[in-house]
Amino acid sequence: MAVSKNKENKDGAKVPQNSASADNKEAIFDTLTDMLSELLDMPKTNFAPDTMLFEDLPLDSLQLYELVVDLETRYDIHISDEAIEMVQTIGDVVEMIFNAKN
Amino acid sequence: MREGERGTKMDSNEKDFAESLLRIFDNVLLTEGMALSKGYFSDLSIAELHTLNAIGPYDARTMTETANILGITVGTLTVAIDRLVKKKYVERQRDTKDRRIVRISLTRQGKLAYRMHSKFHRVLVKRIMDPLSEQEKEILTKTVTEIDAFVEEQYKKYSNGQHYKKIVRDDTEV
Repeated sequence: MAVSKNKENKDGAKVPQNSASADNKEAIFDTLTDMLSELLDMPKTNFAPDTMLFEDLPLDSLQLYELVVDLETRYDIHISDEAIEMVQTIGDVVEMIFNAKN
Repeated sequence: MREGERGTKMDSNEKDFAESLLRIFDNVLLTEGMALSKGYFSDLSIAELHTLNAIGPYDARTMTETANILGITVGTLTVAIDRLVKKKYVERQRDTKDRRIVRISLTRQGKLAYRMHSKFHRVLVKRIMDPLSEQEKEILTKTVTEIDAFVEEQYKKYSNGQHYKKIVRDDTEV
């Protein structure tokens, strides 16, 4: 699942830069990779939207939950266990947070 | 099959069933306890984990609400919460509007323990259900729901109307 890099909304219309929400997908990706970088002690350059959380990263189940709890606090959202089981890539996590916020 | 043989067979089945059921109660708790002692949260007892479960990972609860969920007195809960606060799994806040009300919520560490413990339950259920066909899953779910309803009825007889599902197996440990 790719993260949109441009500033277009669903209809393809340009969204003005200054009206972009602080929680758009790019910002979420940025925050998420900051958290992962700190959690796994890895540089941010290792993370891309299609990075597989478990295959490509040394993320164990406790670290996964650390990430989930921190994301819930940061974005004031509830992330269900079922939702966690569905995510495979960093892009999936971005999508999940974006949908929970909107 | 003759009448007598049938009766004997039923008795033996019922005995096996009763023994299995009791073994399951004991061994699930035992396994939970062992998994806990070998895991990341080895300073928590099972009873303490169930207290964290009763508080829940999101909104802060009052002491009375939490004590009701667990089926224990506020006094007993206070002792348990003191220990969980000391171990940094729970935090207390005074209600901003009514300072007499104390609310409790899970810390980051408490939320992690809650999540990991619920994963244990989910894995347990998954292991039981995965080998079953859809029809078998349906029958098992229905049967377990019926057993739950029956146990609830028995519970109510002895509990002076306290809410079911609020059994703390060993609140002296809390």
